[in-house]
Amino acid sequence: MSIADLQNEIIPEVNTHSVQTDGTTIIAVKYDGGILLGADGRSANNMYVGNKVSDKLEPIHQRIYCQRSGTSSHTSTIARYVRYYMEIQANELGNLPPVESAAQVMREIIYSNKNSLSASMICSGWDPYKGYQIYQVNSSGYFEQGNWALSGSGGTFIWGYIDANYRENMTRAECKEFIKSCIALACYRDSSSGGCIRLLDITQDRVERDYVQYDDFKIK
Amino acid sequence: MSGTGFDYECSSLSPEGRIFQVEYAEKAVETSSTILGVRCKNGIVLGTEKIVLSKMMVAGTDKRVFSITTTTGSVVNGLTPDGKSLVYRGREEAVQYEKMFGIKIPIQVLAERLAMRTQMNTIYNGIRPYGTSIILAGNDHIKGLGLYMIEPSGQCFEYYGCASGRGKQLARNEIEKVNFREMSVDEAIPLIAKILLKAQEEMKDKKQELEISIISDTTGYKHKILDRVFVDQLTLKAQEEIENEQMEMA
Repeated sequence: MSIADLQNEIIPEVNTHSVQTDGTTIIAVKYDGGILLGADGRSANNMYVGNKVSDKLEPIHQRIYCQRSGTSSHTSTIARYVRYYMEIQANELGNLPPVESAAQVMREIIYSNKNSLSASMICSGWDPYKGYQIYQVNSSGYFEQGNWALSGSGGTFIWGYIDANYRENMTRAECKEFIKSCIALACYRDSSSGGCIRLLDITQDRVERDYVQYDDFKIK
Repeated sequence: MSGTGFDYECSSLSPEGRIFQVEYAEKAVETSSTILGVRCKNGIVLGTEKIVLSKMMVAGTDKRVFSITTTTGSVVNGLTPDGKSLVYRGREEAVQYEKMFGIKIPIQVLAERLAMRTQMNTIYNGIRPYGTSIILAGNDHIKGLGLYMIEPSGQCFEYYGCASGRGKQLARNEIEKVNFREMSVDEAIPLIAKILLKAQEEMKDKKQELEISIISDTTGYKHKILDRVFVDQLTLKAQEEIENEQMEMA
């Protein structure tokens, strides 16, 4: 056996240039007096977990956040562009930019580059004109407003759970528990979701982050 | 007014700190028909007067009032083709903004952008400033009602009432006398017709035409150019009233 063969046997083939993706479970839910965003913390390069605590909740503006699922590099670049346009719009308006506009810019970027991008995102937040809004922008460049939005590979496993348990006008605590259990369940079944749970609470007055460790997952 | 060589291009300031080309553009505005915009309790009224240039011209062809979007109206004076060009630019800006951001362009943003375009024409060699003043009125869900005026220099302010053109001073005085902010649009229209006619006093032996448009709650905050027949009746009535007033004075 030659040395080269030996090396091949010992060193497993790891493609370090593979694309890092947010396999992801991301969810946004409107509750009574705010919006709660939730995301898991796993970023994977194929089977390899590249990051256990990645942050898929990206700020766009003071009261607008987006959640990213798809190829990490694509989605974070899109978020950067949206941030840039929203900053300009906010300065031009002299006020907070509309959430609708952030979603529209995001949609425009995804739609005009949809053949080369892999990105499905949720854009949500508060503005003084239309209040709390959640927009889901899918990878084909279509966007839709709703009371809740769900995306990522893990989402597939919890549609039924959400249909059965979602109520309008939940309290903040109820909503938090709801999102926690949604993501915990998705992480349990989906191989590319896991790590931790990151939560973000957007209200008119403030934005607050929360973090749940992997050990604290509760699955019914 | 002489620029002693500094008035051929607007790319250089004169030693006194003036740009003569811009001042000449303002001159073109000052000698043209009066335009005005007034903010009322429930909306905005735009208006202009003009001299009918030829007896053979079809009435209503010489337009000075334009819609930029369904909720944004404008009125121009000075060199009207310049004004039209600016209105077209405004329409382009409006649709581009809506495509980009998914919301109707706020009137303030539209005014600022058009002002920037006007200003661009005051700094380059080889192009001349717009010889037009434009009054913009609009409504949007971001800032509500807004009335703006852009001058040839690119200056752009928001107003409760503004006027430009040959009857500028008289119109401004009249607007300041009346408390339009406590008045509804329907009440304001006859007064504005009167102001416009008074503003062109020295031209009164020629045939005059008025153009008036409104944005108010009765039109659903959409820009509506008032009907020709209605405005002509209004003009006749206002002329009578003015004559009566003058008789009393005498």
